[in-house]
Amino acid sequence: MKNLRLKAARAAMDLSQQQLADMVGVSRQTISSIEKGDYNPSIKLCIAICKVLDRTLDQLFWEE
Amino acid sequence: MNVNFLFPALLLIAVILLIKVIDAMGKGEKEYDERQALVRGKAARYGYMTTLILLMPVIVLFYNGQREAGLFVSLAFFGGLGVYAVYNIWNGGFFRRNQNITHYMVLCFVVAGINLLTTFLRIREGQSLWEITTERGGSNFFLGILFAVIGVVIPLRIFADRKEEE
Repeated sequence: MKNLRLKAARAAMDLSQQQLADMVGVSRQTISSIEKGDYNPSIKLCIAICKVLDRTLDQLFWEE
Repeated sequence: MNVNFLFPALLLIAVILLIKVIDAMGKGEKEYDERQALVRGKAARYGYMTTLILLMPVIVLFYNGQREAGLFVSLAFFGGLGVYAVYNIWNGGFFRRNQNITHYMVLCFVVAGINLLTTFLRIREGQSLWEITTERGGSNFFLGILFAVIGVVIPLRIFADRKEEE
């Protein structure tokens, strides 16, 4: 399932996939895979993304 | 002392050093992320399975050690490596973060060029491709093809990446 909330949060901070990837220490394709729903990140990576985007885990990764 | 192996051994050391130098170029920490580690594991599994499947004809057809067996063993070995490399590159697991891809691509084309040139020179000397690939397993020919494939897949992936990012 696509993670549109992550994509929206990244866009809201005016960050490219590459910029976000550099900030959390992963490759651009990993961010792309998370946004497309092809890869389930570890909790460690989820937290790192949340910190950079200033969001909570629930806001970005909790399925409703 | 047998010096026949000296030149290839020195060449191998030079290539390894060159790869290390290329690796050291570029800024930033170089490591694989968690998704890349998974991709690399999957690629290794697919490469291993490909090698096993391609080795089947050797076990079934060439149990007497006919010279064509060398061709199939080379096909299995390089086929497995090819699957491993292409799957890895296409899924973004081949290069670490901040690794200089351009230098690596140039190195691929140089290695492919040298090996295909060696094969071409042997054909010019009068050997057929069949003889080259069966008598000594055709390692130069297959190595040339493998690196040429890697050298082509890398820019294709970069192109697909840029398109995706837009």
